[in-house]
Amino acid sequence: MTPEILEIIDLKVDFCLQGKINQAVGGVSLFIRDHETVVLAGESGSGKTVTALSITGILPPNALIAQGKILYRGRDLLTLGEDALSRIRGNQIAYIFQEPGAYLNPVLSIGDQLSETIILHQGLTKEAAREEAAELLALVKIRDPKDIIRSYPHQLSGGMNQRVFLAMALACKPRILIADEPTTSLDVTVEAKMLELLMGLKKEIGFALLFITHNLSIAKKIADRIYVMYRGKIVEEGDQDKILTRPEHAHTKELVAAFEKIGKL
Amino acid sequence: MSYYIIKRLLGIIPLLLGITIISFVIIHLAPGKPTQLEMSMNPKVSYEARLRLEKLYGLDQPLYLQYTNWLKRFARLDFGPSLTDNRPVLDKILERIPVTLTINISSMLLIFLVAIPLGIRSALNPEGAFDKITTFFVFLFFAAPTFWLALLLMNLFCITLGWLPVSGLTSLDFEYFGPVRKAVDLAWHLTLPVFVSSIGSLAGISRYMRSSMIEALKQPFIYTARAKGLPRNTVIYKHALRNAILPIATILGLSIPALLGGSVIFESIFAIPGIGRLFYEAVMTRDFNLIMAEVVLGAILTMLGNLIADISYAYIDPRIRYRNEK
Repeated sequence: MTPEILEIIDLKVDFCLQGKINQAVGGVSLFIRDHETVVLAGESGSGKTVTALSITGILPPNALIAQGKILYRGRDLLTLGEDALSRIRGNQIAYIFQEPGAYLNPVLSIGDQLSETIILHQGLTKEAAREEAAELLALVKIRDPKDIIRSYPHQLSGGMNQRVFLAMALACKPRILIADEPTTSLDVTVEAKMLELLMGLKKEIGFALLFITHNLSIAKKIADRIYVMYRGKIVEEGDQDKILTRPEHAHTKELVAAFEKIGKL
Repeated sequence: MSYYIIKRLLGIIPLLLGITIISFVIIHLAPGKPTQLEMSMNPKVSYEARLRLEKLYGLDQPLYLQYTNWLKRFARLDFGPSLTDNRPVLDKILERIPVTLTINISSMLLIFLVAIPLGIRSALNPEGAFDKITTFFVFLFFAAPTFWLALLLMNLFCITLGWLPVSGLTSLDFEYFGPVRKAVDLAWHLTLPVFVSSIGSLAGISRYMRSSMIEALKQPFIYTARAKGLPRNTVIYKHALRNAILPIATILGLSIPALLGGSVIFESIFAIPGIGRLFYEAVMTRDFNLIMAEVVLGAILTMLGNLIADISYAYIDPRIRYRNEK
């Protein structure tokens, strides 16, 4: 069994809203092994995204990690300074998000946004980074990468933007990719292609994948193991087979039943 | 893009015609004629003499004729003589421009160089100590009327402390100064006027910048920028600022007409011979030619300002740039 590359131990995250403190994540523990695909499933508002953002400390300003450890290859990321953390972000741990249209900067060209990461973490020159950016776009199966490099997010479709985003995340060959509902805003056929591309690249590059979704049929397609999150806590965990066929916790049962009902599982 | 600019420039022509017609009519509908002020107070001037003068200026003709005559001259960039001293209107305006322009450009620079960083700094930690303190002063200066603030500051700096001159543009012995001393003297005289004329807008624009920046920093793409591992300054100044500056570009463009506009109150308080006072005097003496020239100047500047705002908008925001090209 490969060792854990990332381990979250008893993470608690509070949000300060209008002077009141709300707990968004209440003691989450999970781990990811090298090259593994882990799905973090749960309904919206259950704390999945907050857990994911906590990993490299990119939470909104009104959030506070109250307690816990996040061990990446044995080092606790929560004790690292901003400089050390930013060398890991985007370089060793990368993200892709829901709604690529909103998560890409509307006023910067695709080429700028891609080469920015490459220049930052690999120290390439501007020209070399642009070449590299074009190659990355080819890697995510975008035709005419030279044209796409000059375009802006609003000129591309949702599916294209998500490919660009994936290319951006993979620019530095990360050890872990955190994908937060990356296919939720796409339509079903685009979603299927996107997943296929993602899993293909995972095999090719060899990163560990933390995939966040509310959609158990995706979990069924890709997951090695599944964590089910409910109201800020992990309520159940296990191999895909165990969670989807023999759920134990009431909430997991509910989720599984709901997907069975619409014939998606 | 150049096609777009040409199209917009041509669009100015009908708009300018409309503006001149309306202003021409309004000016002539207002009571009083240029001849009246000079003569009704003077018993020596006979009614016949007045009529003769009106005929000389063409004021006895029907309004539409007067307008077409004016338009014909305007097409040759001839704004006619001033009705008060018979000097060409254009000369009278041109000699006032340097002063007004110097003050307004300096205050505009001051406004944007101070307001933008101030707004950004407040936005980075909204409700923090820096933000609270600037908010207090910003609202104080925003609410304070210019003339009142000007008088208070004059009292403090010019009379009590004696650091700055009370009014005027130059010292009495200005003519005898060397070039460096002249520049220093001018700057010394302009300090307070520039400060007073900027403080209100400075307060307002720093608020715009603050809220625009707070909004930009909440956008999803900021998470992306941070997730990439970009340094904080790159996230703020490259990713957030380029989005937050859009509304400010509009305000910048719209303040271009104000560059030559000048302000009556403010120029009167500091005894500065600028465009604002010229316009005020023109209105008081019903100097139709001068008023019309100033109106045209203002209209053209406003429309150019709008155009420049739109162009800079397109330059910053590719979504607008590409829509225009289609």
